[in-house]
Amino acid sequence: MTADPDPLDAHLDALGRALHDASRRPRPAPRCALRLATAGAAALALAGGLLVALPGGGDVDVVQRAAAALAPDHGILHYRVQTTIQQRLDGRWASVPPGCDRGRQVTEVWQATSPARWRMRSTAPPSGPRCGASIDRHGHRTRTWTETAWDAGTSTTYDPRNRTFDVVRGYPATSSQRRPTILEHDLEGGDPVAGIRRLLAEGRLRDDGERDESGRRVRVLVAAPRRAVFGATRRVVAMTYVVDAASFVPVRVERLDTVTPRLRVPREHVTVRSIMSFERYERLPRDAATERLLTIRPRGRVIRTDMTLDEFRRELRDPPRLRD
Amino acid sequence: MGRDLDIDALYAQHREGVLRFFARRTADPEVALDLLAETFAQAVASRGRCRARTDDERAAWLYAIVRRQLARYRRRGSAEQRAIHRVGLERPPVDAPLLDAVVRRTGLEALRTELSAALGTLGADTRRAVELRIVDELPYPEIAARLAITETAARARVSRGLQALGRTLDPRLVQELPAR
Repeated sequence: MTADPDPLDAHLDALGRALHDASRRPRPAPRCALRLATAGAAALALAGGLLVALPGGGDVDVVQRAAAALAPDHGILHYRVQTTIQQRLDGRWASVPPGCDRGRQVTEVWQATSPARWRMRSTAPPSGPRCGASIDRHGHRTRTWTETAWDAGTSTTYDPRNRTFDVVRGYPATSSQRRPTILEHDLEGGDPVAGIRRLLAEGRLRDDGERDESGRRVRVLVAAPRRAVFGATRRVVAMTYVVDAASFVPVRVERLDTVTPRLRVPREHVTVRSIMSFERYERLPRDAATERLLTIRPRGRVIRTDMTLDEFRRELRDPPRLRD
Repeated sequence: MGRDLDIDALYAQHREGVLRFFARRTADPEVALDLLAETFAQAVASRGRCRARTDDERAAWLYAIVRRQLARYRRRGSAEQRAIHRVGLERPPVDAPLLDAVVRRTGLEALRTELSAALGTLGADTRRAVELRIVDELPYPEIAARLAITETAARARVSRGLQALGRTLDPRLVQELPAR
């Protein structure tokens, strides 16, 4: 009686036989001919894709009304959003990490374009035995709330409880720091309306009709799922935008993120849901009073630190440890 | 001479070494098998240009393809199939027992155990940040959101964790040279 062959040996042997067969076939056609054929096939596929995509643009009336309502202006954008992040565990939605309601955070943003400037005020994450602790660059635990601002390559952070005011200068214009750190990349650097506008223009939003939610008439717009590969990790991101039925300003943005990480054994899916509920979304006129909203104004005495980006990066190499 | 390149012999001599090389660097048995097939398909397709005369030269020629495939994989995020299609290679199917066998044979378990143990040496916050970045491969803004910290703090936390891991992990496990 012989033992079953190891599946890897069997696979490698079979691959060897396939390689042997392939090496006995006539040589493949020259590459230039292959490339031309590939280019032709790609052009045909692209044309086919366009033919399929164009009629599927959805309700033209809704798209036009939304685009008109969401037209950009040059005021100051102001919004307050509560973000909740949950992970699917054992068939139900649980906070992330489990046992710590850390995924719930309130962020308020004042944002101007041309030139890009913003100020963001965020509630500090809860801390506790299951949550860990967030510390600032001085090693103090962050509590209550913090403020961050951006203006022409300078990032400023203010922690009122620890009375620290840190200024880092010299960020390049392309730095990711130039955008408020709210969750969704599709929100175009903090403004969800810009993301909705772009998706509408590209015909990537499906109108799912109107409904009543908490006494408010809303319209649901669903984006086609977006697939991405990072290394061997596969991700599928599905976005749903719930907007006011009349003004089209955002009411809620839901994101369902299904990740298949490469190092998890077994290769199980991780499903994370992020819900951004907009408590306020408005455009303010641009004047001296609203311009002041873009700048951090610390209260009382603060410990101010000025540094360049290089100095800040050097500091990051030896980060602080928790001091309190 | 290139026309004398014996693909069967080259494959028999290097198949396990190349597979281990890819597995240790991608930590993914499925990707390692994809890259193995594409590498030898590329060897079949370009065997006419091989000028190696000795075993050492043939190994060097093959590993030049291997490193090129790995670099492309890291750049594109997926294994190429170009040479497989070009030479009409009919790959045998891949199933779960096969992937388990690759994990066992290439020592991926040890690498993962080492990584888990190394992660265990980090503080809870740093470990979570490294897991989100390296294991779940999330972008920094999302890590920041999930940990409720700024993006700068997220980058600092991951950087700190990776430095600590670099000191803890056995480099031989991660960068083992291909067997000859």
